[in-house]
Amino acid sequence: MDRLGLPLVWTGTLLLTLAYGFALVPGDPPPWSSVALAWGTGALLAGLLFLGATRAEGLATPVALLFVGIGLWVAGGLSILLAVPGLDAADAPLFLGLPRRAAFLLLGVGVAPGLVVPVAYGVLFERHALGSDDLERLRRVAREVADEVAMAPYGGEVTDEATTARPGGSLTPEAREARSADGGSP
Amino acid sequence: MTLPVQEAMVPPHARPTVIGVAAIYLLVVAGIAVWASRTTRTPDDFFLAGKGIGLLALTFAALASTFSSFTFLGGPSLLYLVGLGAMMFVLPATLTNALSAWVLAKRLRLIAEVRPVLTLPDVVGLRYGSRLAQGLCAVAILLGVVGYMATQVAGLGVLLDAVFQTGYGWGIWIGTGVVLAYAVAGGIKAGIYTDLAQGALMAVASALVFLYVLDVGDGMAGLSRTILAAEPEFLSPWGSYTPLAAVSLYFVFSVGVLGQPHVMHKFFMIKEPLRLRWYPLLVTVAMVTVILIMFGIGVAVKAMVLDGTLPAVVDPDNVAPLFLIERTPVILAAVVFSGIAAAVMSSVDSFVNVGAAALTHDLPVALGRPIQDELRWGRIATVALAVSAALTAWLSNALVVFLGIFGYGLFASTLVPVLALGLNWKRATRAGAVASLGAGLVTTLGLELLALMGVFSLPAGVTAAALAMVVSFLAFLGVSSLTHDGQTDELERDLQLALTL
Repeated sequence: MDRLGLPLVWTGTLLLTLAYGFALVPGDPPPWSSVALAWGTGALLAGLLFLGATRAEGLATPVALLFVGIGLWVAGGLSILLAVPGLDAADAPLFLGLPRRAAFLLLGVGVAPGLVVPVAYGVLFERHALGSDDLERLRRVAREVADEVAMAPYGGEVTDEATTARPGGSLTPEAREARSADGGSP
Repeated sequence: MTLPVQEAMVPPHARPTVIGVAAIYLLVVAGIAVWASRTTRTPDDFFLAGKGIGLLALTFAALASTFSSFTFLGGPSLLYLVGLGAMMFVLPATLTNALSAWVLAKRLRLIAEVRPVLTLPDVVGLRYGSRLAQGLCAVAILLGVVGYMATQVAGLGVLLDAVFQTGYGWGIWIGTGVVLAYAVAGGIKAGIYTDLAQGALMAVASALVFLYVLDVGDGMAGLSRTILAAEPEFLSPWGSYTPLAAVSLYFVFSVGVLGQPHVMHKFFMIKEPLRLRWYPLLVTVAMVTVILIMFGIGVAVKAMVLDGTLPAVVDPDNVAPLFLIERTPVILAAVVFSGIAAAVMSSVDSFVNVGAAALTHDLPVALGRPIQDELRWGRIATVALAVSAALTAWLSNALVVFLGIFGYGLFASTLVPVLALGLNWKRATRAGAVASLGAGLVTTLGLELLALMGVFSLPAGVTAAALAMVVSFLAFLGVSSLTHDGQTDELERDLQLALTL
C-alpha cells in the first residue's frame, strides 16, 4: 500500500490536466470536467500524503487507510455537491441553521476533516511520523557525518557540488559543538 | 445609500477608542521589537529566530502570516458579493495544516537539524545539488514576495486612511514604517513574537464577533431563512461561481499551500521537532475560529441588507466595518480594526524577511558569490524591499493589482512540486526540478502578462495559478521519470536519513 503515493499523484495530475484541458476548449466546459477536477484534487492530496508519510520501512496500514479516506472524502464530498444542483426553497429543511447542501459543504467537506485529520496526526505522530528514537538516531548519524567531514581536506568543508558555496555544505553550530565534544578537529 | 469608506469605518464617537486600542497595540509591538533587536545577533537569529521558537509561537505565527486582511476585509466583502462560493478560498485551510505537517514540516525541520539551512531555496539546492534550482527558486520567491507585499502595503494604506484618516499615501508610509521598525531591528524573531500577539488577537476577536453574528435576528437559522427567501443562490454551495471555478479554487488553495514560503519557512524555526505533534490541531482550530469572522459577517450583512435592517452596501469594502460599527461594542470593533492592521503587518513582515533572505542569501549563493555579512545585508535588503513595495503601492494601483494576482500562484506553481514531491520521492531528479521551476515561472508570468495586455484571457473558472501548477507537476513528474541522476544516493547519510525517517 505504501507504493500508492506516486500512482495517485500521477492519476491526480492527469485528471486535473484533463479537466483543465476541456475547460480551455471554446464553449461551455462539459459538466464532468468539474467532477474530474474534484477527483484529481482528491487523488493528488492523497498521493502527496502517501509520499510524505512513507518512511524507509514503509507506511503503516492505519495511516494509509486514513489517507485513502481523506482523498475519497474530499473528492466524494465535492462530487456529491456537484451531482445535486439547484436552489433551496425558502422553507427548505435546515441543519444547524444552514440549508443542507451548504451545511454539507461547510461542515462535511470543510470542518469534519479539519477535526479528524489533525487529531489523527497527533495520535499517530510518535509511532508513524517522528519518535524520540528516530530523532536520536538522526542526531547520532549527523555527529558521525560531522566527524567524517572533520577528517576531510580543505578545513573540514565538503567539496562536492551539492554542498559547496552554500551553508548546506558546512556544519550546523550544534554539529560543530558535537564534533569538538567528541574530540574531532576544530 | 452610498457609505463612503471613511465615514462607515469609524464614526467620530468611536475614534478615541480605536486610537487608544491601536496605541496599546503599537506599544506591545514596540516592546517586542526592542527585546528582539537585543537578541538578534546572527543571520540565524534574523532569518530563523535562532531556531528556538515553541509550539504556540509557531501556531500563531503560521496563523497570522497565512491570513492577511483578506479574511477580515476582503473575505466578508467577497462573500457578500458572490455568496458561499467565496468560502472555497478558506475552506481548504481545515485540511492544509495536516497536509503540510505530513508532507513537509518534519522533512524541513529534520534537514535544519543536520544542516544550517536558512531558507527553502537552501533546501532545494541541497536536495538536488543544483545552484540553478536554488537560484530559480529564489527568483520565484522574490517576484512573488514583491507582488504580495505591494498589495498588502496598499491595503494598509487604505485601512489607516479609513480608520485614522491619514490619507492613502501617508497610510502606506506610516504602515511600512511600523513594520520596518520591528522587521529591521529584530528580523523574523520580532515578526514571530508580534505574530504570536497578532494571531491570538485575531482568533479571540473573530470568535467574539461571531457571537454577535448569532445575535442578529433569530440566529443562523433566521439569517438563512431571510436569505433563502430573497436570494437562494447565495447559500447554494458555489454561490454565483460556476462549479468549475469553485472546485478549482479548492484545488489551488489546498495543494498550493505547500508552496507558500512565508509559512513553510517557519517549520525550520521550531526548537524541538517532536513538538510538531500537535501543531496541525492547534493551528486548524485557530484558523477555523478566524474564518468564522469572514463567514459570519458576510452572511449577516447580506441578511440584514435583504430584510432592510441595513442599507444596501455600494462599496463592498464597507461590509465588515459596517457590521462591526452597527452590531458590536466599540471596543470590540476597535480590537478588530487593530486586528486587521495586525494581520496585514504580520503578512508583510513574513514576506519581507523571506524576500530579504532570497536577495542577500539565496541569489548570491546560487551565483557562487555568497556574501559575508548576511545580517547587515539582510537588514538593508529588508528596508529596500519594503520601500520598493511601498513605492509600488503609492505610485501605481494597476501594478499593485497585477502583482497581487500572481503572488500566490507563482509560489504554488514553482515551489509545490520541488518541495512536496522532491523531498519525499527518491526518484525526483535535478532536471525534473529545474524543468518544473522553469515551467511554473514561465506559465504563471506568461499567462498573467498576456491577460494584462489583453492578448489572451482564460475562460471563466480557470485561473493561471491552477493551470501553472498542473503544468509544473507534469514537468516535474515527466522529466524526473525520464531522467536518472542518482542525486539522492549521493547525499550524505544524515541527509538521506532526514529524507526517509
